[in-house]
Amino acid sequence: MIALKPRALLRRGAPHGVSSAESAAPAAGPTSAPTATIAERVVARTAGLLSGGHSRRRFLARTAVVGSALAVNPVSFLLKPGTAYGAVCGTCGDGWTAFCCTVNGGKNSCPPGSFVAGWWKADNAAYCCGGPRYIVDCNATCPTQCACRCSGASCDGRRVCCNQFRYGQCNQQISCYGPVVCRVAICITPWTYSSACSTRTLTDNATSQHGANCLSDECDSSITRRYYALGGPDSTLGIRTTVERSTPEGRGRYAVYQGGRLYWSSPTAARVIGGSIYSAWAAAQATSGVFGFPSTDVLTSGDGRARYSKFEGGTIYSWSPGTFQVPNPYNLVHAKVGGAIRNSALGLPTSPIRRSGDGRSLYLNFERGRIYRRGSLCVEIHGAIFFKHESMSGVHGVLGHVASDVLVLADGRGRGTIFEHGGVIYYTGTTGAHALYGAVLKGYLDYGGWQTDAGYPTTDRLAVGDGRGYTATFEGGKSFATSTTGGHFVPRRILTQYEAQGGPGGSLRYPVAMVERLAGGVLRQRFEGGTLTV
Amino acid sequence: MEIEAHGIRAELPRGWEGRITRRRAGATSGPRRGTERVESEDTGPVLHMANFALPEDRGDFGSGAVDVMGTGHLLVVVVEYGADSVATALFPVVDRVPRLTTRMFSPQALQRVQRGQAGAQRFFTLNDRAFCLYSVVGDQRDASRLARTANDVTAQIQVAAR
Repeated sequence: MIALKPRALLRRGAPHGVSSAESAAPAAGPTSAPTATIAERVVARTAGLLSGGHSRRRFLARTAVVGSALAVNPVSFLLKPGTAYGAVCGTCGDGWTAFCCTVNGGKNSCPPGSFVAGWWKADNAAYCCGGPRYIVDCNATCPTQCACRCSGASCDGRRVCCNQFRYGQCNQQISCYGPVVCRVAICITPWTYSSACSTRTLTDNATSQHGANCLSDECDSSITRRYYALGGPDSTLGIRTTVERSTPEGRGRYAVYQGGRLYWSSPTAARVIGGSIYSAWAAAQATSGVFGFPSTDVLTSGDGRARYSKFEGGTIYSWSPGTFQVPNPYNLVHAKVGGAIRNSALGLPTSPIRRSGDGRSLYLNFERGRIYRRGSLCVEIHGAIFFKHESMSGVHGVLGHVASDVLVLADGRGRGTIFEHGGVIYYTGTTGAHALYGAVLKGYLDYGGWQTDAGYPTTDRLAVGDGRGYTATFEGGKSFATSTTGGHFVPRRILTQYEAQGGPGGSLRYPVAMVERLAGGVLRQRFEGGTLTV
Repeated sequence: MEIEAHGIRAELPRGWEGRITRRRAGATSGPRRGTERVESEDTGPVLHMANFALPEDRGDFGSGAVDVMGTGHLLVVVVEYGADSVATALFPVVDRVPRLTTRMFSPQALQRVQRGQAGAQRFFTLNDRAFCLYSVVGDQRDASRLARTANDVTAQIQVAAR
């Protein structure tokens, strides 16, 4: 995992491009731009000197471009900072075009009525962490509606809609164009900024330190690339308000925009986060907390009801009832049963994490169920099985705490959940959900359970009514139990005769053994009061 | 004197300077927007011709050089673009380097507007190669005379087929 550190970013901007022009006869081409100078070494100290009350000095001091200004003429700059200010800010009379952020509501993007028409590169730009800076011209569309004027800004008072010039590497399908309305300054390659730009590089290093109040430092980073891929200042993120910086725990970086944030780490890439999801995440200590870095942008659930972001350590959902954190391992269990997809088993979260009344488990409520965490166990319960458990007093009832997920049984028809004391709730679409436990369940399981002709239960475990026994009815018979006989399943063929003789209330009373399968398909079962053979 | 490189040949009138250069492509690369494809920058030949001494530190469209121009000075720049630009709407196919007229020279048609100067710009495709012709006169009042000079100079430019 690699955290981009400012020094590393600076190192990435090694001089190149113009250093060794491939020369043609008879003379050499343009020469190298200056590399690191004394100016870069004193920039930090100088910035400190300049941070007084003078507004121009404040402007310079808060941008890395002070390094560029120093690089131009360090002695002059130190003695006459106004000179550097003029070089960085520029005026209408300097002949250059203003930056778009100066004339486009703070947005570093082409304004309406203009298009990305071409670009040039300026190397070793302090604005771009020492790397190449790209100036993208926004030329007016045809017919031109804008008139030549000065931007009027105190810094970057340059020209607007004046210079009828085109660099020409972008949108070459457009042959009719007006003057340059304004310039976009970026630190990512222009073809990353706009797919309509070619890679043909033209250079003008004289512009590397051109600045404006609305421009701040920006490195060619994953966050910057992602920002522009999303639409930059014209996206929902809007204008950047805080320059990119390291996250507190040091594993990644982030930048703040009007409409949200971008967080980056090596394993998770650059992801958008904002709104109530960001607030919930921040409340959980953001990247330093259990959720870690976002691993997705803000997504929309399959049914369109919720927005959510996935993180290294969970998911946060925002929908009409509120915003809910689902950290791991709850999140992993939720994802296993469909997560936020349409009609998933659990549906969307509806509560924060709560503690059960007996204090033995934590749980999260969902639309159609619940996830319990008890020790190392984290299991979900949903649908009819969940509601059956709840109808039996939930974790406080005879079944107690949930001990398994809702299991899909091998016949693909039934579902079952196991509880801490060995009880089970079975469910099928035709039989519904029914709870079994104790000797009645044992008799059913000894017979072979749902994999036999016993089928699934059609009732819960019920008292027989004689003050002694218990029973449950199944698709293929009944299970009976008493404290003295134990539990035994009576299959339908025997049950018919047994009940004809009064069942447990008759002379046979309760079964005392499992049914025996004899030759010729004959069944025999012993009861307290005799034996039935069919 | 004649200069030739990268399939471009130009005849320099007496007293003129000229360079044909091609910058070394930097290490810069980035993904093309909307794709996973990473592309690197590329460079092409740039021809600078002037009837004054060309400073060594020049931008591709003549910045640095235009800063020292005065009355009577003329700068001619020919910049080659990539193969993907050939015959696009911006780069119409022609059979010779386009001519510049006096009316094309405008004090606004400059990368950087400087007092008294005027510029003209034409994009074209010649011999299956895409170019931009850009010319600056140091004094707009000389545009009529220097446009003819510029045309004389550019008429001598030969471009080898790709």
